[in-house]
Amino acid sequence: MRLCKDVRYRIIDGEAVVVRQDAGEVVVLNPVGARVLDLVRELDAVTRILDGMMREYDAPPESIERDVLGFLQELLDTRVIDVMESSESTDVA
Amino acid sequence: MSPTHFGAAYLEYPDLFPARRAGELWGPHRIVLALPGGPYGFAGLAEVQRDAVLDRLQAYTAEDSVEPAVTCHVFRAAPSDFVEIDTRGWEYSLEFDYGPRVVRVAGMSLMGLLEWTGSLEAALFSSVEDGERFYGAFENFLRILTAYRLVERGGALVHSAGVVDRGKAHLFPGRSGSGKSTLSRLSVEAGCTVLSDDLNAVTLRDGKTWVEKVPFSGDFKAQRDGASAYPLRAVFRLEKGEANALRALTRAESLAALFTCAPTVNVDPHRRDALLSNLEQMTEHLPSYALTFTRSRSVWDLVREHTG
Repeated sequence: MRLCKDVRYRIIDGEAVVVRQDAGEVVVLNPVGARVLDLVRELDAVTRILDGMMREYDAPPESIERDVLGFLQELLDTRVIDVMESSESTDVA
Repeated sequence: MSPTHFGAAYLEYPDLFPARRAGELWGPHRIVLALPGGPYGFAGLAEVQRDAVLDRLQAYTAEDSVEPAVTCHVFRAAPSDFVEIDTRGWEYSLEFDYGPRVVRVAGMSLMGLLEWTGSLEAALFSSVEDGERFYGAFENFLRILTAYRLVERGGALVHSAGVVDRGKAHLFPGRSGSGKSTLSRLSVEAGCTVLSDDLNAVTLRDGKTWVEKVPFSGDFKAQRDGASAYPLRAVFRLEKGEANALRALTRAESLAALFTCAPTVNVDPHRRDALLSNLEQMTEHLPSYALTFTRSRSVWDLVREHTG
């Protein structure tokens, strides 16, 4: 997974201000959402993103997995992130 | 109409858009406007064009001897350069082409160039000389020029109602239809002064955020009394609602609200980051709220309760 090409964001007091240039939209993500976005940018595989969140947040793993996967789907649906072709991925998940 | 490339909605020959800030000037006349981010100098005006601008912007004119920070030359364009447009039931929106060093603008009877060659310079190509129609093209371009210049200077032009209460500015950002004009009318009824119900300049001075008056208003004729710049007390993002209510915004939400309402530059991929950085600085320590309001002046009781 990766940020869509037209997306830029910056962290302000722990929240993410996300600009979707092509749609002319701006959304604000809470600190947890902002962290997921950072992990998408740093790591391209869902498994690694989940591992990262589970390391950082004290909650049952199944709860984190459900919430993060749901959030990633929302980011996909709203074209904040997209899925890389397998040849582009630097990690085989 | 869905143009396939820049300028197609307005220009007969989009590929012949001027490549340089050059051409035949309309006339020998010049105006210098003391607006936020300026002074702005406009050279090459015909007498009737100069008079049209003076008629509306007299309060903002500076002495001819003042050196402009930004200069725009006004060149002739042929009427045949432009497409005839039936404006009945039509919503006017300019077309832009954003480049790393040049921004091109096309609209009714106007082509505009902003160019960064060390400093920002501009050119307006217009096919109209008569006062009213020329002023329309002129003001459209002036809004764009001001928006870019303010970002260069660490500020922003924001779609908002700007209202002064007890010596401090209150900024109500909102897009078209959000209630800025209604809020402005209620503000006057509550004893406030309205700077503009459409666009306001937001600037940073010595680490503090200010709202400065610009001559761009919407349905509500802005009052021109008093000083031209006021320290910003708080930002109130306008939202639809059934009752007067305020809730605090986070700094990120405040920045997002201002960014969304900063026209033209917020969709320019080459200068959007500078705008974000400016707003990030300006929103530091700036109280911000989401405001819903009914059509009654009691909204100001609520605002004053929170701003002291």
